[in-house]
Amino acid sequence: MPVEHRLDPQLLDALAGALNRSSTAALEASHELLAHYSDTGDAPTQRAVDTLIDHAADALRALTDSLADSLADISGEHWA
Amino acid sequence: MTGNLVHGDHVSCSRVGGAMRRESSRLRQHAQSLVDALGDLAERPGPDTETSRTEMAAMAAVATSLRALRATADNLDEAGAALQRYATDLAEGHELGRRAERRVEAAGVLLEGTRVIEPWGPASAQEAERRRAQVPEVQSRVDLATAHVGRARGRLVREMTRLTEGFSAHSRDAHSARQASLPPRGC
Repeated sequence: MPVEHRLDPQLLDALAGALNRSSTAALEASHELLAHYSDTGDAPTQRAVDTLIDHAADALRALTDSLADSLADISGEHWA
Repeated sequence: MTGNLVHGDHVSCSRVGGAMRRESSRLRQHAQSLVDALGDLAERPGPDTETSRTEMAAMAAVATSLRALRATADNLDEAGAALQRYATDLAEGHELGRRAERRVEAAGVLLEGTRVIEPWGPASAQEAERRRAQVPEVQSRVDLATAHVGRARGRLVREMTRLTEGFSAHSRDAHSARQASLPPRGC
């Protein structure tokens, strides 16, 4: 069944486009972070940097999913 | 690169820091696009003035994700800047380490880890005394290099630890936005 939006459809399309691009950018950023390696020269420092990168990538993946869910909402998948 | 005294590769640290800041900049641009799109919707709500609860829940979820996106981008920029500062400090540490090692060699003494020691083996009393007299000055140069890098590492670890907690919080926020974006059917 088609979804009836009360909000302006054109503006919703614009928001959906922005959500789609943001979700993709967040996923690409997580990949980019994990693609590089920094040699700090010290084991505890290395652990701190590696842990940060893991958590940053995790946050970006969570954002990818939440933005994609919002995109699905806007597109009506969850409202149908 | 200094072989024994100062370890690490400042180029790789700088590269990762730069990548973080580039990604941060891209994410901020996308966040701004979302801000603009949400702003347009707020200004022009459409023909029906009453927005449904489902739409409101969806918009609230977008707003939550947007806040998390901006905060993540900010933290990523801070982390990148911290790594770039560390790369500069590490490069200086390498230079200090090289100078200290040259001084060790010139003085005819040895490095055991970060400790300056006199070599074993036969030496004249005059030569042994000359070496012994130079140990404190050479040791102070070694200490300068290691202390410089040690302070830089301490700063970096503190920053990474603080920002890691931030990323964990943003991850939780993004998950809560996902839950908020799925309202019960029939709203």
